[in-house]
Amino acid sequence: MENTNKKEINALFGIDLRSLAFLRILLAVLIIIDIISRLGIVSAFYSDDGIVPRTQFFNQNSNAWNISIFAIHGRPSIILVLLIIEIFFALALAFGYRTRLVTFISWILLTSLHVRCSFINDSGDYLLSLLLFWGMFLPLGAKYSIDNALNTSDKIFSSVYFSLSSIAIYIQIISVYLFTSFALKQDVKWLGGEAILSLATSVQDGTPLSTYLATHLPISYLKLITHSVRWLALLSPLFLLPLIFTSQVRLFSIGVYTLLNLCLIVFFDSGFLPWVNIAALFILLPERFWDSFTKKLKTPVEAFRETPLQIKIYFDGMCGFCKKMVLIIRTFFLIPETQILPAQDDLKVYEVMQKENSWVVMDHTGKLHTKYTAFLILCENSPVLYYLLPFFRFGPIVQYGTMIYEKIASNRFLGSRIISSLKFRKINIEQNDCEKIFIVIFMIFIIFSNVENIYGKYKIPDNLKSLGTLLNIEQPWYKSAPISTKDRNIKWYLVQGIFNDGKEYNLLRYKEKISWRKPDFLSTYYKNRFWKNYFEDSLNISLYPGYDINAFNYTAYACKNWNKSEKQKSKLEFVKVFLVNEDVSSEYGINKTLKWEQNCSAIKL
Amino acid sequence: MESQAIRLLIIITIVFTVYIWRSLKNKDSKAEELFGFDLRSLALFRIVVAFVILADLLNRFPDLNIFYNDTGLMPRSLAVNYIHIWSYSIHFISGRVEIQAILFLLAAIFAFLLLIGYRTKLMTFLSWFFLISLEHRDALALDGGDFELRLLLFWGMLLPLGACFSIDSLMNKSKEELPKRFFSMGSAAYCLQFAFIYWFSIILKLRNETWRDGTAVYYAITNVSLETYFSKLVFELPMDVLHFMTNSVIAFESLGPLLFFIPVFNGPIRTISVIGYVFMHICFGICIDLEIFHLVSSAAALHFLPSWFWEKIDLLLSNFFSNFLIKDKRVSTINLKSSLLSNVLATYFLFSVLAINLWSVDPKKYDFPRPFMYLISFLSIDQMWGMYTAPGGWSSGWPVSVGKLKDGSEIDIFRNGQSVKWDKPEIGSEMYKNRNWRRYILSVIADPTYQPNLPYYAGNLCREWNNTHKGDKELQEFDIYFMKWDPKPNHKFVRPEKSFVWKQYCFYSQRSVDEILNEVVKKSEGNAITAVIDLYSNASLFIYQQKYSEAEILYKKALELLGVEYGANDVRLTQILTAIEAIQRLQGRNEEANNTNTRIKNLVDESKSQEKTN
Repeated sequence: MENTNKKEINALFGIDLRSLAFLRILLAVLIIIDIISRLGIVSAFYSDDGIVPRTQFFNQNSNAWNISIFAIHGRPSIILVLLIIEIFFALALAFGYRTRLVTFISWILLTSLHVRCSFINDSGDYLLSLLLFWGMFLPLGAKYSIDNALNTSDKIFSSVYFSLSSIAIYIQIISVYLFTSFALKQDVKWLGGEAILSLATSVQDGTPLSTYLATHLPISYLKLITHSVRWLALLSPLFLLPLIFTSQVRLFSIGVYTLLNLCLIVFFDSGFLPWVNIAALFILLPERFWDSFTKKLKTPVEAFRETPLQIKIYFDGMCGFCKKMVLIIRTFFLIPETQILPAQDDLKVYEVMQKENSWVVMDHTGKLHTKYTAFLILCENSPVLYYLLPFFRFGPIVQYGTMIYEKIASNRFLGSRIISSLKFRKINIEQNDCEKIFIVIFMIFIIFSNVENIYGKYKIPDNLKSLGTLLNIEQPWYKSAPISTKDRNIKWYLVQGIFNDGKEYNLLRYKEKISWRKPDFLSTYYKNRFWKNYFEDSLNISLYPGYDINAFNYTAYACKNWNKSEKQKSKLEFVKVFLVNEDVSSEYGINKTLKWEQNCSAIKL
Repeated sequence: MESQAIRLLIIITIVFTVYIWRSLKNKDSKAEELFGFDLRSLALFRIVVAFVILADLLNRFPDLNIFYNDTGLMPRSLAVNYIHIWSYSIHFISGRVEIQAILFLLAAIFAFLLLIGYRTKLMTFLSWFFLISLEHRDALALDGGDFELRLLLFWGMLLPLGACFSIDSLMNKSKEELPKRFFSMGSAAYCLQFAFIYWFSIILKLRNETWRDGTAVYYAITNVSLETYFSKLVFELPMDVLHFMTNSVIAFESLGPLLFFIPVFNGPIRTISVIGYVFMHICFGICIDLEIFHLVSSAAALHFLPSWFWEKIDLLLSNFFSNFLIKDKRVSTINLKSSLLSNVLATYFLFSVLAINLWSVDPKKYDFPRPFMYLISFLSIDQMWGMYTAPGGWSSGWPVSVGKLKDGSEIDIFRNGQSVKWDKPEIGSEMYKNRNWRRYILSVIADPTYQPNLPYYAGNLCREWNNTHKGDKELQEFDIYFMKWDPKPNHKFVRPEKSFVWKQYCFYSQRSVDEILNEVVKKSEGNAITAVIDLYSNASLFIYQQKYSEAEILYKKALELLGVEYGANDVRLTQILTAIEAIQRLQGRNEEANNTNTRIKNLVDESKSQEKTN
């Protein structure tokens, strides 16, 4: 009885190691995409030349528990170098090299980036860093990784991983939906069913597609969608942690929730959150799915073959570099059944190896292949690379491939020096008690943090809160996601730049004349999501009445940025930042207030 | 004369580099002996330098709360303005004292691992990284010792510091016997770097008359803030002896570095020279409170201890260390071949060092391309060897404070609440807790670039005093004076020059603006500076209370008084104007603020052009 209970809990809260590997790769891809999208805003938001110079950042974060590595330098070029380092770590994460350490470093670098300029992030960014945070306690690198290829531990672990941290990451993923739905409950429009219509046609969150659909679909459809979205969010614990038919229901709910997030991406200007949500959903992929998937995942060659896979790879037993390479190839070509043997074991093979100075692959018929053809045989048997075979067999590619192989074979010692940092290590997926205690604390923290965000009256004690700040595990889910229908009075910023040749432009839309008309959609009005978040969040804060350090910094940046290139003939002389409101009662339908005015001659270049 | 010497130095550097590259190619044994370092000397150097770092950390640690976190006297937002834009510091990652303490601990661990020689190259790098981070974080002015320490670690990254007397050597699995000496472009470049310290120092020194007429030592030891017990004894010496000492310093600094490179009797001569250098620096250290400079400079000379020296004492050491040999767990290998990359880098760094030294001699003539200079700042190998080039200097003097307690008595906070004395303190350098405090107090009182921080410092003094003293002993207000004391030739006695620096009120005053204006003008008795400082102090009190309009009136009155007395050329003028601009911005009066800003810019330009003409 106990045993079956345990099994059920395992199935419910356990995560398949292959799902974790998939999550790892998706996280790495998201990090890389995120960082590449941030490369363009380095000097604006992350350097001393920009909108948040470090003096400003340090003032705002005075004595705070935040840590940001990006504060150590103020030049854009150095920040760029740090970002490129971050990309390299993300690549190492994708390949599962020293996974735990690399996850930790990626997490530190990512949170540092978020802390350095916090008002351009949206909740997706925070969810990504949270997933990395929980990833540190999960065996992300146990499958399909360099760690796995070079694993020396002879422990055989079950393919489903169950521990406190797997429970924690489930709670984390579900809380995004669940607590959002609690927030929706306090919103009249969501309860009444008008929310989707209101969001789809709004300037802030809508897109042309959503407006078109919302104005052409009957109201009753929109109400139905509104209610079903709210119920999907509310019932997420049932869908994602189903007590019966676990595997089947999970596969179904992965589909449904992915669709939900895809709709957010397609129809709304919803930032980064749905992308990260989709990535997170894939840890739900059940064991049964992976088992049948790997069974089906056979190359056509194999499918026709009656005997099971029988290929063997022989390597030079005297060369550690060769062994590592072969092990890594076996892992990433997804041919785990392949035998790997030192050539010295088989005299016949050894002779061939000596003669050809190459590795040897024995195919299922017992025929020996060397050099590039050996690689082609492996591709033929690999479920992933099989589809690239025509490319690899293309004439010039064969020539290049052979050449590259010979280069590698002749530079074995150089290769082994490079590869020497890839060491044989043991994978350990067990948690010690200390880790368990911390995980429980963090778990409690995220639940309370969510509750505090929804119901303001429950407060987390201050010292626990500082822990949350230090680790960046607070839970801000409805920042800039198209959820809240409150505060919908339409407003946008207009930055009037006056040049010395008398011309005037809106600096946000350069080369366009200033128009006070309401922009159709803010997603296309601002340059990208970071600028949109910046204008929506930061400029609303003012430290003292009448004095807005953020507005000053922005205008100072605008002056510097326009006037620093000497090629430009016309110089920027004045910058005025207007907050424009839609106001039906006034004469032109808008209401503008001057937030800040800056004379560029007062700004040092 | 000077330009010829500089030309000679440039030629020497170029010829030397070519010669070293050729002898690296030809495996020239003479060059190897002269410009290579014995592995044991490097190990000794490593141990000494790790001790210096540890001592430095220990010295700084008690002030963690003062200089390294956001609630102290040097918050990050302030420090970042005082360092070069290409400088960096790992301590900027957080302003919490807890996290700073962790960073200190890490630095100490790395220094300890450097001491025992575990993964030495990595630890040298980390120690270097943490050292420059620390120095950039407190953002106080650097002296020669700081420059030299970071340079020693920097060049140490190119040398095998861990090949002897270390964990690395105990775990070395390669059976090949290590060569006695290490010779590469890195070691050769270090030789020249060592010589540059003295040669460029001499070039800068000889510009000053006191070094040419032989009175420089006399002036150097009379700097009050660096004074020790022994410096007073030296001060008493007859002038002729002091002349002789000055001239021998010049001789030793200009010819001394050459002693290491004499091709004959190299062993004994080198040993004696190293001892000579260490002796000289220890003498300096005894007579002038040079902080870590004498230790660091002594360590710098240890590289040159020849193999001859070690052969004499080898028997002793080998017996001692053989007891510690770990026979089975040898995992790492020590590689003593210098790679091409490291040699190319060493050459590049050598020329960078030459460039920055040339720049320090004449910034206008040797103005190298920007990116090249930025990289020098980024690597923190910038250096300036102009110590004691001018007599006295701005820091020669001592601060006195006159504090008024509630019961009416007057005390001096700088002397732990004793009654106010205006005479010179017994030993000048003992007024301060440690070198960081000395640097901070002196620069905040007497250095115009740090003076804007004076209100914070003074406010902090109030708080500290009143935390421990209650009732009648409560501090109401205090004035800070700086007693500047420039020595006159031939032991002539001079009176110190008393200047009023700051007035601090410890409690918000209940008086109105008009009352303050009347009172201040009456009290100052026509002395504009006293009135200005009093007004400024009162204004900053209003700022703390967020009464900006009142503060502005006081600032404007101060501006008026200053303008009458001193005209445009006063640092205080820009300070007050900046404060006024901030208030105007705060109240949203942008037009006025822009006008004030233009006025400041004009002032700065004016004083810059005046500097140029001077």
